[in-house]
Formats: sequence, structure tokens, C-alpha cells
Amino acid sequence: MTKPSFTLLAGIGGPVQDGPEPEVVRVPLRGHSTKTIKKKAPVGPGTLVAEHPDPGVGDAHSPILGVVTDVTDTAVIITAGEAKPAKEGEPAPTADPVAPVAVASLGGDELRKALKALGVSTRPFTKAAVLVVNGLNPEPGTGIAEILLGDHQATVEKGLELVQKLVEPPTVLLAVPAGSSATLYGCTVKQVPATYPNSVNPLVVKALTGKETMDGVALVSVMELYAMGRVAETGLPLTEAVLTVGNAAYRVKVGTPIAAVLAQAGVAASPCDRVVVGGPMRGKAVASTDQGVSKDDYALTVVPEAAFPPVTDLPCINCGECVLVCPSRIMPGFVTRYVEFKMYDKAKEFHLESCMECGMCGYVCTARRPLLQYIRLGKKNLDLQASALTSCRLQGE
Amino acid sequence: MANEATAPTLYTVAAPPHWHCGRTVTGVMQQYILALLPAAVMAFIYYGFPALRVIGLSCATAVAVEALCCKAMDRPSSVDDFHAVLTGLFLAFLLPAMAPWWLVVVGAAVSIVVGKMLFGGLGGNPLCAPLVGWAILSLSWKTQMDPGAMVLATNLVDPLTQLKYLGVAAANKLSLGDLFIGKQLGALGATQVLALLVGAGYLVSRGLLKLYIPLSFLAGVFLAGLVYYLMDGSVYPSPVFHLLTGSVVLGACFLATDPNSSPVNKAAMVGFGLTAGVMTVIIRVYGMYPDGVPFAILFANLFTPMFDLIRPKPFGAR
Ligand code: SF4
Ligand code: SF4
Repeated sequence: MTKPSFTLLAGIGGPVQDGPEPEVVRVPLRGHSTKTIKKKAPVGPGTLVAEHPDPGVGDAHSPILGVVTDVTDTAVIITAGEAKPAKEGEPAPTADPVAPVAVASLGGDELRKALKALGVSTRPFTKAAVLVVNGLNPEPGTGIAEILLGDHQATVEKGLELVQKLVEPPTVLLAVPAGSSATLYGCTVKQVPATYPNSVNPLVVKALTGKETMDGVALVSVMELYAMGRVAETGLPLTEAVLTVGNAAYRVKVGTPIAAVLAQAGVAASPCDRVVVGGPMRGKAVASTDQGVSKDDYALTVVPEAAFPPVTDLPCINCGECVLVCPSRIMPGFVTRYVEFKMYDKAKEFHLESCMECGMCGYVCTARRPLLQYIRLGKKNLDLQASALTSCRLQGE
Repeated sequence: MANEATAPTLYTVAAPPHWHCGRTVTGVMQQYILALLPAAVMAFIYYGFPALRVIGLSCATAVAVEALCCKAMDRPSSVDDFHAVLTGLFLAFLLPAMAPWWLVVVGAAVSIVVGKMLFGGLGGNPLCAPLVGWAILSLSWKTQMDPGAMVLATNLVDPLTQLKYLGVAAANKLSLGDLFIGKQLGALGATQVLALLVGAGYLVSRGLLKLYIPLSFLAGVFLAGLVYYLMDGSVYPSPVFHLLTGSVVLGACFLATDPNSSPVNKAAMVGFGLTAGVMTVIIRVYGMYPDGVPFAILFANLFTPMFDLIRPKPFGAR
């Protein structure tokens, strides 16, 4: 078995290619309101399908011309094809039903509103003294940031202009992998060692500002800048994501089934393999390849079943490997033992909450314990405890 | 596109990370056993078949007792992770080659039952399991545990009893080179200094042994030995003598590093190693046991929870 490489220089060639033309899309919903969506409604590319109640979260739009065939809590399903008008007398949707918005000329709250309506989330971009652009590939084997900085610099810079209008930072810093010559207009470039987990946001901020805190720092990834740059260029709603799959990068319509993207990239997934949205260290394994790609996805990764030893429920043997790799300087072995036995307060005492979820501990665990899973479980239960406590207090008042 | 009529393909769904370094408990135990083979071979060269007899009996008893314990505890057998074999091997390395069979059996059984299974098996043991067996044997059957008394048909001399009963002049007559290649009487495997170092070097090269504890242990022995030597060279032997005798190398590289009974943070590991090393020399100077290593490690094991309190501030903490 060859050990995987942790280099963040993927060496995947750009530019970004066009993804598949899907017959069906499942546009993911993340807390969007489904009230306004009607079944059988005809839609065109850019038609609004679901608004999000939060003004900082982007709305969802149809990426294709077709008909809404189903609505679930987590997705709007749209089947491609010529759509009949909803009511007699109304015009049928066309391939370009929405008028472009000139976002570049807007500013302030107007810009926020416009971006939200165009499907872009602006919540992270509040006023800050420093804007950090994370220009590193998020994970080993995913090369998207490298490609966007190399081949699509102009678009990325347009996105950066928009973010700068929102954040109004005196300083803009760009993190690039060591050895890279990438730059962006107006950024002070800093090189970061090109190995995972250096691409994880808190570590990038530390490398660039020298501080282990996000206070006064706004952070944006190159992928987010590119998405905003596309919106600025076209003036149309955001309905695509850029992903690396196998040895190439694709511009994929939001909601395109994972299976279709894998097929176009020529990546095979056999039964019992893991099909992962994202990279191998932090990505989410999906149960079905019918699931649609979402706006913030950056890679698809297939991990063959036999490549690595299976996860076990063995006890921690206290080998300490996880402690030595943890960038948060906590003791994942101890923390997860406490979570395993539901001793959440004890886990908190051992700084469970400092974990930045890089996945390194689970990678090195000799007992092959699902460490990150325990950590997330612990965080979730602590959150639940905290919210139960506040609601008790409210009742008491 | 997926055919709707056929059953959906099932994929593995699991939490990240989806990669793994490939290191497993079973794999690590096997590598440790492999790393101990050179010392076992040297033991055979010096002591012949009696050494093999002790090793075989100890490993077999450890495995059998662990299997029985698992049955009694009504849980799946854990013997296939090879930890029982390794425990048996370590215990054998601490015994004289002529140890009677019952001593070996009792030692291995105690190591597994009291050292490991009583605490819930691998991962629960607060002390280094083979040392628990060794300690109980040493306290109960002092004569049978003494290589000088047990191994009669040999030209080898035990450097530590020489030192204890005949003084430093007798100890200084021994060549350090001989000690290094294992030409000394003692526990059958623990005295194979060179062979053990070869094994430890192999483990380090495979990334399976971290040097924080071994180096600080050896440094502790050396520094404490040096202090006494400088105080009075006519009473105390040189620090190098301490390093090459008894089970210092076995203890430093293999026993003190037992994962569950040693701390995990870097500074804590260094403190732990130094403590055990210094204690070794103190026991040798003042104690009634010629070789201080096993008790020194057990002593340090007791403080592991305290050492574990030495930990860096987490990321972002002020
Ligand atoms: S995922 Fe594990 S290694 Fe990474 S920060 Fe969290 S505890 Fe540390
Ligand atoms: S790497 Fe796994 S077995 Fe080792 S200490 Fe951490 S949690 Fe325990």
C-alpha cells in the first residue's frame, strides 16, 4: 500500500472544462423556504426557485430549462425539457428568462441584497481590518484553487472587488502554496508550506496574520471569489460550482447528479467504495450518486473500499499519534474517549471545542477509531446542552 | 445515468477522514515482535534451547490466558491482535534462561490477568503489563528470578551482582564492548544490548517508535550515573556501565514506551523518560534489587496521569 501524499500541489491541469448537461437536477436546499415552489412549474436557467429567510444566505435558482417535478426538504428536483407555460396566456420560459444585474456598479446594502438575490451568500463578509484570501487547494488531491488562480485570475479578481466592497479591509492578504507564483491585484502574497493541513482556515489565518484568532479577520476562498466573479461577469444568478474530479476540473451546474459528473470525468465507483463530496480528509461520503452537486462543493473523490483498513470500534491504545499531528494542540484520543462514554463536560475540559476538524487524527489513529465523528458528536451534544440551558433560563424568567 | 429499475448501488458512508495511514494495532504488534527477533536469536546463541523454552512457554501462556479471560468476560477474543504474544515475549526477556516452567507460566498469566485484562484489556492498562508479572515474580521468588543462581553452567558473569556484592573494582574489570554485544549474565533478552538497539532502530525507521521516551530515559540514566560517578569514582561505576547493563536498553526502547502506561505530549514524554531513567540509577545505588529498571518504569507509570497534565495550550487559547 502506498501512503497517500499530503502535498497541496495537486498538479491538476486547467482550465476549467464544461461539465455534463444533466437531464435531471436536484438543487440542494439548505434551510431555504419551500413554500413558494410549485410542482410542475416551468423554469428556465436563473429562475428563482427558493428564497432563504436569512438575508446573508443566497437564494436558490434553477440551473436549467425544465419543469419542477418534485420538492423535498433538501432539494428541488427539476427535469430538463421544453416547459409549457404555467397558465394559459403566460409566456413560456425561455433559455434566458432573467435579465442580467450589473452588480459591479452597486455598493453597500444594495450590493448585499443584489448578491443574495443572485444566489451568493454574503454572511461571512462583514467589515474587518484584514481580508484573508485562502488561495490553497483545500485538501490533498483537490486542485481547484491552483487552477482558478492560474487560469481564471481575471474572474477571481472581479470577485475580489465585490468582496472588498463589502469588507472594506485596509489590508488584503493572499495565501498561496510555497513555490507558486500566483498573485491577485491589490493583495500582499504570502507563501505557506504546501502540505495539508496548512490549508485549513484557522491555520491560514495564523500563517498570514500571526494570530490564532479570527477576530477582525474576514476570510474568503478562491472558489468563492471565482463564483462571485462569474456573477459579476454575467450578472446572472449563481447556478454552478467548480470541482476537481480525477485529473481535471469542471464547471458543473448546481444539482447535477454526482453520477453524471463522475461519468464525464471517467472516474469509476464500485459498490462499497466511498463516494466523497469534497476531499479525502474532510469530505462527506454520500449514500447515493443521485445526489446533486451544491454551490460550495469543490471536489468529488472516490476512495476504493480496499485502499485503507476499515474503521473499528477498538478502544484507544493511547499511542499518542493523534496528539503529535493535531494542529489544534489538543489530545484527540482523550477527548474522543470522553465523548464515547458521554462525558461531554470532561471532553470540553480537554478543549474539544478547539478542534478545527482537519481530520489528521483519524488519519493516523492506530486503532482506526472514527475520531472526527466522535468530536463532532461531542460538539453537537455540548451545543444541545447549552441551548437546553438557555431555554430553561428563559422559562425561569 | 442510474437505471431506476435496478437496485441502487450501495456505497460506504462514513465520517471523514476517508484516508488512513495504514497503521493498525495488529500491524504494530507484529512489527514489534519482528523487532525483538534479533534479541531472541542472540539469547539462543548465548543460552541455547532453555532460552527458547522460556520464550515459547511465556508467549503460549499469555495467549491462552488472554483467550480464557475473553471467554470469561464474555467478549470477542482479542488474541488475534498479537499483543498477548508481545507481552509474553517481553516477560520472557526479563526472565533468566533457566527459570523453572511454573515461574514462567505464573509470570505470563499474572502479566495478562493483573497487568492487562483486569483493567479491561489493551488500552486500559495503567502499568506496563509484562512488568507487572515481573514485579510479582521478583517479590515472590527472588532466588528463581536471579540469573546468577539459576544459570550455573555458564562463563558469563552478571555485571550488576558483581557491582552490588563485589564492588566497583570487579565491575570495572568487565569490558564495555562485551557488555554491548550481550556477553553478560542476566535476563535472557534484556541483556542483548546490540540486538535490541538494532530492533529499536528498525522500528524508528518504520515510524513505529518515537524517540522522546527512549532518549530521555537513556539521558536520565546517563546523567544520574554521571552525578554519582563524579561524586566518587571509586564507589560508583561509570555512567556507560549503567547504560549497558541490566534491562536499561529494553526498558528505554520497549517497556517505558508501552503506549497506554506512558504520557502522550512531547514535554510529558521527556519528563517521564527522565524520571524513569534517574529512578533506575537511584534504585541501583540504594535499592536491594541489582537492576532498577523495571521498578523505575513502574514507578514512572504511576505518575503518567500527572505527566498527562503537562500539555500545551490549545490553538487560539489565550
Ligand atoms: S480533527 Fe483531530 S487533528 Fe484535526 S484539529 Fe481536530 S482533533 Fe486535532
Ligand atoms: S491515535 Fe488513536 S489509538 Fe492512538 S492515542 Fe490517538 S485515538 Fe488513541
